[in-house]
Amino acid sequence: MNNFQQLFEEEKASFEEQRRNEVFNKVHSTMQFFRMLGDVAEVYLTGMIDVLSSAAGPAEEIRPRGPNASAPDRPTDGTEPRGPSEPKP
Amino acid sequence: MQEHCHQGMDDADVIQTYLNTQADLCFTLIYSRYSSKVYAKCIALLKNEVQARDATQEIFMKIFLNLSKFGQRSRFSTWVYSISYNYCIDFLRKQQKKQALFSEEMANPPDISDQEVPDYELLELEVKVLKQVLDRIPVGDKAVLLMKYQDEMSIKEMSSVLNKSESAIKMKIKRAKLKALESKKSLMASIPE
Repeated sequence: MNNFQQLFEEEKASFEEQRRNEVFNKVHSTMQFFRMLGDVAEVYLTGMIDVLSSAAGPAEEIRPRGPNASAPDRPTDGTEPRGPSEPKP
Repeated sequence: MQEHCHQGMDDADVIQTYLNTQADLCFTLIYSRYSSKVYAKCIALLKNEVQARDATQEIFMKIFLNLSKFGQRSRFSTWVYSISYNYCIDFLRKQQKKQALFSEEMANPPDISDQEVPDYELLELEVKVLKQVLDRIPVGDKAVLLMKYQDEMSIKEMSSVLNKSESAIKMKIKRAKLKALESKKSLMASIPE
């Protein structure tokens, strides 16, 4: 063991057991909190997404415009279409 | 696949079992193996007990949150030290915005053109003197010397820890050794005979 490694051993020994335990408890409780958040997200988030998507209802049907579909600019009840009329002869 | 961690397991198996089971015993084993080592790095670089304790806590959070990213391409200890060195260097950079952390960042970096410091100049120092010498050089230089002589990292490992090219690392080592030698000379000169 060289002098650098002896210095390392001295500095390692300066981390007293009480301090080491304090740091351990903080790291451990923070990790447990993160784990709990992960579990909550896993259990509830997927369920919540299902609930929200079913509450939004089915997707609106889009009707295709075929040759028989009524033209939106020509009313079907016989009235004149709105907008400027053609010049009269 | 192992389901429980025990004292005799090597680091790779403890990590794999922890990732599979999240068992508290694996967590405790990793912490008990490395907490003093991480703290020793932090106290060496930060030179402040409270900051070193807080840094140890933050470093362990990083270790556990990124454990799945440890690819086992390097030794686990090298990976842990890499996180520790980088955390402390970043912390000091934020704190001492204007102060140079490596001697090449200083206004007058030592000239390294034709000087070579033999290893024995540093390795023959008494531990107490070595500590004083290292405390008088820029913290980045100290980190480089610790990686080389304390952790016995290769140039390749150091280049991956500090994210620098191998030639840049060789230059950093040379400068750090010169700086330490200067520090040793000034320390010896200040001690009355």
